This record gives sequence, structure tokens and C-alpha cells, in this order.
Amino acid sequence: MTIDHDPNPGKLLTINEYSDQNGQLVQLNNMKGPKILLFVSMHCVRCIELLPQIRDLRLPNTGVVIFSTGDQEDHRELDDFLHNKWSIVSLSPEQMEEEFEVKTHPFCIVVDEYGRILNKGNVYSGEDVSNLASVNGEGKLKKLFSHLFH
Amino acid sequence: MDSLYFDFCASTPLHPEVYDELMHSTKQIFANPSSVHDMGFEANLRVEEARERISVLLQVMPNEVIFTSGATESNNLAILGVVRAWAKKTGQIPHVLTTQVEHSSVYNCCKQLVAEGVEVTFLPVDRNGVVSVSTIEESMQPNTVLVSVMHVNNETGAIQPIQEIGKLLRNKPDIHFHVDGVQGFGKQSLLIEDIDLYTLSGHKIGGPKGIGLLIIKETVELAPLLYGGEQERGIRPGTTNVPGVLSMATAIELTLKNREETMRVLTTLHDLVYSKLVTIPEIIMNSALPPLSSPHIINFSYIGKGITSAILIGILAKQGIVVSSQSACSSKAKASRVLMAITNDEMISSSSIRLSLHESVSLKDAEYLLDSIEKMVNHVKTKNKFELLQGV
Repeated sequence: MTIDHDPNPGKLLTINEYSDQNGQLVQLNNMKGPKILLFVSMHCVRCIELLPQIRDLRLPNTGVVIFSTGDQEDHRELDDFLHNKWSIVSLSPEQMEEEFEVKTHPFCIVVDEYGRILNKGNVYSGEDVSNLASVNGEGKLKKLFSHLFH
Repeated sequence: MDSLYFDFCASTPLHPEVYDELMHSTKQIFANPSSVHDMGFEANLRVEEARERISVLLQVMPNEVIFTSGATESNNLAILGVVRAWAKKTGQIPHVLTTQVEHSSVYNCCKQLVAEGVEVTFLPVDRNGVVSVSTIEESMQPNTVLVSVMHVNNETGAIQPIQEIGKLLRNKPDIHFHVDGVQGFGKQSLLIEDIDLYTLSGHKIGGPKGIGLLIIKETVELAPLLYGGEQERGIRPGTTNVPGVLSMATAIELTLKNREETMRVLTTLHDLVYSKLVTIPEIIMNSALPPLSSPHIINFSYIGKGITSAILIGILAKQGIVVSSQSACSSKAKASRVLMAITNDEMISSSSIRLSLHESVSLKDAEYLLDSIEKMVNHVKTKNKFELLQGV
């Protein structure tokens, strides 16, 4: 895992709105509670390996949005695989870079309930996601995400 | 589980004799060959001996052999160097002819030229991935200064008609001909008599990484990319990579010496693998059969359902098989540009696998590879794509 500690924690997420696999509007800043944004590419084997581990994470009260380079068919299949529990947004690699500064996959951004970016970095396992959510000097996120693994 | 490597187009293991040369020269010949003292003189002597050996093997003049850091630099130096020298000399906008299926070090270099205002024509190829000589001839313009065509395609193995293009350009001294010979060298015979600029890479032929060369014929005017000392006649300044140069000379010697036997082994392996793959209904072959394609590369796609190369590579990796497609993991790769140019089919271009063979591969290894591919196909047919990498 590579963690990119933001030198300016608290940077706000993009205000862009997205549409998920069901045509529902995804407004990142209006989602309640902490959020995990996961960026995956259908052309990245590590991303495909990561998804089953993400599915098995226990994430009550935590919003998860998956940004994926896949097409409609990919996202239908992914939605089934994830038991329809999270939003999946189609985004090109170029959009991921432009809107979220995501250059490599799989990538995760952890956001607090106010839409402030707390941590981001490449993740290769469910444990990496958990660690990314926990690595925060304040200990606040650690507390927020303490339910991820038992 | 030991891995079985079938990605020899990406890189080859060091040949044992090259390894010995590399270790010995790294330890013993550490002086800078540009230094005036005796140790520098001795290092320089070894570099010039290596240059001489290479020039004899490639049938060029020693001063036409320019050492670089690798094929990407050689390709950039050839293309940018010729274009910039001509533009500076004439004050006109140059035109470059290349193909849609070149390696990214040529393709993206030409894209950069387009961004700088240079005219570039990216020629199409046929279903076998081969460019037509008549299309090249028809696409020439009064300001055409360079034709850059690879010898053997790094994704599909397609062999381009280099000798024919060379003949076409023989009587056109104002147009230089550059050939990226990285995947063809030691596999397909090639006379570089009609070629003005020729690229080779060390690590693709049993040499080390970080060394390559560009043959620049004496008639070519070329602007350097870097400025500094007088190494490599000022065309490529920078401290000479002495162990790399000596190792590359040995790698070239061995590659040419063993070429016949290498090709015999590769042809046997190719025939075994290709003949089996072609019988699997869910697979479509993207590589043509020899003589249109080099036997060390076999490219195919899975066409059963929308599965990307990454997933297929992952399934094979779980069985200890190391292969690639055009794309590297954790990259922004999408469908293969090369396969899109050949097939114009997004599914085929997104689900390709490139097998690249080597003389060290045994028939038993090839049979295990085939078994693994069959298992992969059966596995893909029965599972959700996001479960495919589990329980292989």
C-alpha cells in the first residue's frame, strides 16, 4: 500500500455529480457519514483481485462509491457480485485523474462526514483499505472505521 | 509454485556468457572511457573493440554504431533527430510516415511531433497487421523526410515488408528509413543495406537493461537530443555504459551465432501452441501464421464474453503462467491500440493475451501452458467475472 498523506488535510472533494449504475444521482458532498471512494480499472488485475475483499468488508454507516472504468455490462455484473449494496459510477481513467488526481489503480480516497479528504493511496487488499482509513494522526478516522475488521 | 515465463518480448534473461561479461566488466573496467589516463584509455579501447565487433556483425561502419540507453531512446533519437535537423536546415514543416501499430516509443514520439506542428501520417495495416508498400508510396509527400516502420510487431509478431520498403526508398535519398528492429533481431533475417536508421535493445536479446543502440548511416543528418560531451560523436553525449556496451556486443554475437537453432526451437514451440489454440472455439487468433508473423509471438483474444486481458492474465498467473497483453497492471491501459488498428473490434482488443516464446522453453512447459489456457477458458465460462480470480 502507498499512502499519500495529504499535506493539507481537509481538502474538499469535487462538487461534481455523478450517475450510478441505477441512474441514481451520486452527490459526494451530500452523502452522510464517512466515505470510501474506490477507483478501479477493468484492465487492472489487482483491481479485480481486490473487489472480492472489499465486498467482504463490514462497513455500517460508511458510504462506499466505486468508480470504475467498466461499461454497463461490467457494472451490472459487479453490482450483482457486491449484492447491490454500493453505488458504482462509470468514469474514464482520464476523468479519474482530472477530477480526483487518481493516476494508478486500485486507488482509495477516504473522506470524512464533511467531505474533507483525509487519506488517499493505492490499495491492494481489504486490509490496505482498512489501514488507509485508520492511518490518521487525529485517531478520529481510526475510531470511525474501527468496525471494519474484527 | 514456480512460475513459467512466457513474456520474453518484454524482457529476456541474461545469457550466461553475457552475465559473465557484465559481471567481469562491471568489476574490472570501472574507469570512465573518456578519461585521459591509462585506465580510461583501456576502457575506451574495449568500447571501440565492441563497436567494431558489432559493426562487422551488422555489416555497417563502426562510426555508424551509436550506443544509447535502450530502444526508446534510439527510436526517439532517430525520429526527433532527423525531423529537427531537416526542419532547422530547410525552415519547412517536415512530413513523417509511420504506421498505426508501432511501439509506443515510436507512436507517441510521432504524436508529440504532431503536437509540435509536424505532419505525420499513421498508415493503416491489414488484418494480418501488415502495412502495404504501395500505401507508403502513395502517401509520400514532397516534404516527407522519414519513414519509420518496425520490423516485427511487439504485440502480434506481424512482420513488415522492410526489404521492399527499403527498395522503394533506395532511390529517394531525401527520405530516411528508420526501422525499429527490437523484436525482429535474431529471429527474422534482415539486411540493413537499405535502412538508414536501425534500433536495437540489449535486454530483448539476452543482454542487460539500460543499453541499446542506433545505427545511423553516414548519410543521415541528425540533431542530438542531449547536449554535453563528445561521446558517441556528440550525437549521444553522456558517460559511456562500458559494461552495457561490452555485454551488448556479446549478446548480439550470441544471438546471431545461435539464430538457426533458436528459430528451429521457436518454430516447434509455435506450431505446437498455435495449432492447439486455434481449435478452442472461445479463442480468436490475432497473430497470423508464419511467414506473415514471427514464431516467437502468439497473440490471441478470448471472445466468449466481456473479459479483459487483465482478468485472463490474473487467471493464468494463479496457475503459475506469466504472460502479458499490451497493457501493464495499474496503468491506464484500455483496449490495445495495435489490435484496434488491426481488427477495429473493441472486444478483441480488450481481451488479448500475448505469449512470447524463447529457446529455453521446453515442450513440456508449452504443454503446461496449453493446459492452463484450456483451464482458463473453462473457468471463465462458468463464473462471474469478479469471482474469476478466486478458486482457480
